[in-house]
Amino acid sequence: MDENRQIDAILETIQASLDTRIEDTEELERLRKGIEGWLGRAATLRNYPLTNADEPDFVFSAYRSEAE
Amino acid sequence: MHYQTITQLGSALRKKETTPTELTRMYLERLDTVARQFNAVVTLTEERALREARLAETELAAGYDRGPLHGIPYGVKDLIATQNYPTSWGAAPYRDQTFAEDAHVVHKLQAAGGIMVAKLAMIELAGGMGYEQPEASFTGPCKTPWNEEAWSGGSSSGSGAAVASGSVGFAIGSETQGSILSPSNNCGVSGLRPTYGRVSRRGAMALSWTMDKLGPMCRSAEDCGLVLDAIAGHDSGDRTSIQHAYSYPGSAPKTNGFRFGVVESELEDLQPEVRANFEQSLKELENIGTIEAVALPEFPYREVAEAIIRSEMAAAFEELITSGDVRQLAAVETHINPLTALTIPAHVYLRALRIRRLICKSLDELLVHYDALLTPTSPRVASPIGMRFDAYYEGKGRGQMSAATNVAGLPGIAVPNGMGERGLPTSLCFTGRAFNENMILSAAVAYQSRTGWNQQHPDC
Repeated sequence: MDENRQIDAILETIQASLDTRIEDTEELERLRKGIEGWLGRAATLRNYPLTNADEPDFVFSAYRSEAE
Repeated sequence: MHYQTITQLGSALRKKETTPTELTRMYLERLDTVARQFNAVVTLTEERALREARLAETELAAGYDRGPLHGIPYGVKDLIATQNYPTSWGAAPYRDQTFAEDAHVVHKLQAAGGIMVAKLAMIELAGGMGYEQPEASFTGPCKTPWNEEAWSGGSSSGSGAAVASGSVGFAIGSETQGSILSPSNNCGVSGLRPTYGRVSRRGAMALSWTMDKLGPMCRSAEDCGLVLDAIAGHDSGDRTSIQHAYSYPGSAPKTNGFRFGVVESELEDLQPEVRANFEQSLKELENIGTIEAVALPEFPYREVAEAIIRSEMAAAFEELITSGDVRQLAAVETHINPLTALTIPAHVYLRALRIRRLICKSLDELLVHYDALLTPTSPRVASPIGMRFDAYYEGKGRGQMSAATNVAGLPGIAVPNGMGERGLPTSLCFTGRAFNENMILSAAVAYQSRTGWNQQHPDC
């Protein structure tokens, strides 16, 4: 997807999640820059090679209380 | 008296040269006058402090000694819950927030005989909203006691300033990424970031569940060990707290024969005084160990740290952000910056956690060959109060160690190692292998016994 279209889509997703939409031009520009930065960081993470066996660093454990 | 270490204060108490109540009144007075002028204080806990002081006095007089912290006044960063006093998280929307119970760390300090005298200032919400300048606190910009025109560092701002100004015996701070080490650098105090899970987080504000750590900020490395001894340990109320027992100093602490590694990539873009003091520190350390250059393994450390912290922050503070209440925060940039975190996809967060596992393994494979990795704690001394961080750092010299070591949950200790521009302290950081706080503490204690930089204090 074209990056500008992607930024527009994410921006709209953010706006839809807010109680009050952001209208201020400077704030919108800051937000666009923030989204652009995030897309870059996500790309860096995506480009790091991982295998299917590389698991996330958390361990889930099933819960059982002491009660019988 | 007010600049003494815990060990010195404890000795004075046991020789009956002072009493817990006298110490408490002295520190309450300094907090209300000296520390307030640096914007380091949120709330004095006077009634509680005097009650705890009377109890300590009675117990010590009766020969019941709870150990090195017995009768020592301390402060906590105001993200640590305390009964009967507000816990503001440094942020206007929470300034009147109260909790029914003390945080686990406060229970531990109470059991050790500590006397809580204050809730200390901090960057709002521990900096998780993406602040870009020192004004990001509802108590105003916190200043380093060395120079009122310079920032104390953050987010454990008041903890650093209160310890440096001799306004508490010690303080508790927290670190998600840099929040103990940064104010330790800027305020010239000794600050220990324990291994993730070493200290229970129960009752402390959650910014990032998998990266938050609580730790001591003191006037010596030895004091950091004494405080860690009191606050470490498993807590069933925090599933991430570890089962390993901890005691300080442990058996036969090392005094020489250390193996040090210098992380060369962290030596770029240092201020001249920071470089000179670091090089002088290496000369001192050559007397007690070997030193060789090392390279950090290649990983996208900063991106991993940001993906984890911001994803977890967005989950922890979603309502604050989406409701618009985030606009009550003091730093205007934080009204917008956290919004992007709402749209980080789950697969990106999980990808960061997958890379994190590899980072942990790789850093441990490096650290197994060394007792500590050495770096300047910061490439620069404290920034001017009125200056944005990007203008001060000019995009240079922020290094990767903070992201790398916090992602991996590794322990680190910052200790003062000289003076830099504008009369501000510089600092040396020892990073250790997971669960090996005693090794970096031993190295830092040995360094301080040879140099005495931790005995310097501002004139206030």
